[in-house]
Amino acid sequence: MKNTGSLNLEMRKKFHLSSKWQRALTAYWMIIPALILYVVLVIYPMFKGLYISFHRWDGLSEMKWIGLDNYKFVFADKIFWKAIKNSFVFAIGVTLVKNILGLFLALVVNQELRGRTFFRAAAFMPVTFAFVVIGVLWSWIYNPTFGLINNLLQAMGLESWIQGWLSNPKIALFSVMVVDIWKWTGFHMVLFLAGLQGISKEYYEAAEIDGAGMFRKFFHITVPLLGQVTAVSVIMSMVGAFVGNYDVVYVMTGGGPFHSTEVALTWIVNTTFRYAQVGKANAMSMILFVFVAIFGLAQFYFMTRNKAE
Amino acid sequence: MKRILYVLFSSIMVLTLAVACAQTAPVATEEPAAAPAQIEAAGEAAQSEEAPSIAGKTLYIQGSAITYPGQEDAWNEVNAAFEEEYGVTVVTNFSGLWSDIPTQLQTAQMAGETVDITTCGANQINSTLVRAGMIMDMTDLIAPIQDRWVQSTFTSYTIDGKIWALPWDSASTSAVFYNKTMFDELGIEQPTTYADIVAAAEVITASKPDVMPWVHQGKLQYMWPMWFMETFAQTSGNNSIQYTTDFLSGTRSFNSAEEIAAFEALKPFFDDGVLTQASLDTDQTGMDTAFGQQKAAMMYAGTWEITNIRAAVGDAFEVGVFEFPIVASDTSVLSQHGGGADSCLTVPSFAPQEDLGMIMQYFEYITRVDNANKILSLASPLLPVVSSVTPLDEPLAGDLNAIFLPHTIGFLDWIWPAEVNDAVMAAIPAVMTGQITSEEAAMSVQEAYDTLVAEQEYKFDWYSDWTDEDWAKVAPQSIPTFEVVE
Repeated sequence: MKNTGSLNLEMRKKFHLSSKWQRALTAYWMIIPALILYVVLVIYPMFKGLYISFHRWDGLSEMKWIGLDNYKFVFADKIFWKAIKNSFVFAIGVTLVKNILGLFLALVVNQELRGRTFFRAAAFMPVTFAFVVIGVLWSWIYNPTFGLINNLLQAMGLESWIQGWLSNPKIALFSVMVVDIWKWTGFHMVLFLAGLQGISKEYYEAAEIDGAGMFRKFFHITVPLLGQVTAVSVIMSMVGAFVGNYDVVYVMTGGGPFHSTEVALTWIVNTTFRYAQVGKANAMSMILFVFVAIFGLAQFYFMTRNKAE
Repeated sequence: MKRILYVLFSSIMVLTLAVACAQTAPVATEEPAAAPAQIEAAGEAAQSEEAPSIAGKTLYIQGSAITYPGQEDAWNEVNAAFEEEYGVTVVTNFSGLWSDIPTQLQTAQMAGETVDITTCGANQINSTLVRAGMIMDMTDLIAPIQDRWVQSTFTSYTIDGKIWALPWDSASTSAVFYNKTMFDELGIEQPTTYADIVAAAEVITASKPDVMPWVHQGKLQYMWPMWFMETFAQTSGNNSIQYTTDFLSGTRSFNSAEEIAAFEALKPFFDDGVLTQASLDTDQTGMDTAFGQQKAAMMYAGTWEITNIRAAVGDAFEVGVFEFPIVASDTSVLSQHGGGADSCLTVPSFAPQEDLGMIMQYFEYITRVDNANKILSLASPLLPVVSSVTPLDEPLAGDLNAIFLPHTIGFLDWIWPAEVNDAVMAAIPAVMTGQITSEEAAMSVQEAYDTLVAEQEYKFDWYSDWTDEDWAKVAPQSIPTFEVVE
């Protein structure tokens, strides 16, 4: 006859496993709808795009297999590489400014200031506007004849500062970057604000007792404790800047003047729909994906490495 | 369990990859179109029958945003009357830029959306859409009502002897519009040469520092090639069309002296202060507004702009016109301007074949005298494309018809493929502002052509390679019968 005690133990173990299995299964059932959407809208198009990139196709007639020729064409496409360079400049530039400015604003609105709710809302409001609306708005702000900026500079006697903000190839890209920064800084402010509010005041009190000043408290308490939030914020802004700049560039400059504001996405869309070179455009998309993936992974590694160590 | 889930999700990814690679390009699901002889026989049989009822159907029309003031209301009024008379529902979508039409069509086709009729431009018909097989051959479809149009306007839409679109709005030419009142006030004679233009600009700048001598809608990149067409017409000794055909056929290089000279002739407009940086940031509305508010003394545009100019100027000042100045060293050349029937209505090749009767009935309806005048009178019809439309009562019409129209040739961007067109578009302001030299500009256009040939096997006379199967995809399967009201 079996020992009742050990039999009970076995049954408890079995029950425990079943229960764990059930809980896990329930959780995975919950995410299956999202997973299906993800597969259909992201994974499938990605593989389909990879397949198309080995063909010559105008989007209508039958595809013709050409192997790696599209990739050769892309590597020889000077405008594509100019667009990639512009994309990197855009992404790195807006990421740096958005995060620095976002952190600064978060620090400010985290203080006990009168009207800070209003300032928080005001800073976040551009985030809610569509890029097309913002693009048209800023196109008029930058207008050389009727625009706010040039007219303000003229009124202040600074005519020498008047520029073709969107027509000067040397500054057009930076003018577009300003718009992206203006739109998204509020979002990063909110991220950092959440992080700041998660830092216990005791750290600052202890530092004050030890005689730490404002800058020491910031660099030795705030910055380290915001590490995770900073990593998320930077990665989000970097990836978003790479793949979310189409609207603003298209509306404001269309990629001009002389491709000085051309980014990877605008050139890919142009190649697909204006030139009907869907295969080549997909090859460009694959190359862009590789760049963004490598960049993103490297960034993630360096930003989270210290935590692991 | 982790291992099981890992296997499960990996299987999903591999399966997705297999599915993605297994599918081929969309293949027409309808039955193959009949051979041409069969279509003709079917058409003849169909004409002898009564027009089948189109009641209960829906007609989908799309196109770019309507820019002529009041024309959208006119379209709505005519469409409502068509709906009432024929029991058809008309759904219109006029949005976006004219240059986005190929994108709109391609997107609609990929998404499986129904598009029965689309507005379009001669540029897109000739350079992109027809050769891509996106447009239906309308030659036999419009036979019963073809005489409603000014026949010469079909030239812009005839390729390989076939008609691919119906001219719409108005035929046009290009001209420099100027503030005649300001010129008279400053004692400036109407310019004819580039030296006259520079002299006029100097007087204007000195007397009215806040006024730009000349404004252009340079923010719209597709409006720059007009400048090159003017200068190239002169530097080529008025052979620009032939030289362009030769270039696209591969027998002439764009790197030739005449093309380089044409780019070079544009640079002084910025160097001499005729054009300013402001033009690079100005769109159509900005240009009309600047001219209308007397912040600019001259503007270069097409006659399609006349209605907008009149709306912007009102009674503020008298508007005059002159031809693009002579910039070539050989002053015996003519100033030749791009023009023709710019806009059109056409039928996508993927429009449902069963809708052709309804589509043709709609074309018949909107080209009846009253309806055509209702819509097209608002398009500044200096030279109407539909014969029954009353020409524009415009003070400048006399000069434009007598002097400009005889000097009008087809726009080169109606012949250039999109890639070449874009290269020219990008090069012109870059040359004008000193970003690149004229030689580099010409080289960039030649490179665009060479790339097109290498990557897409581009051929100017693409139709010579089309098979019967290719032609069948753009041909109507049968010629529908529709009511023609005289």
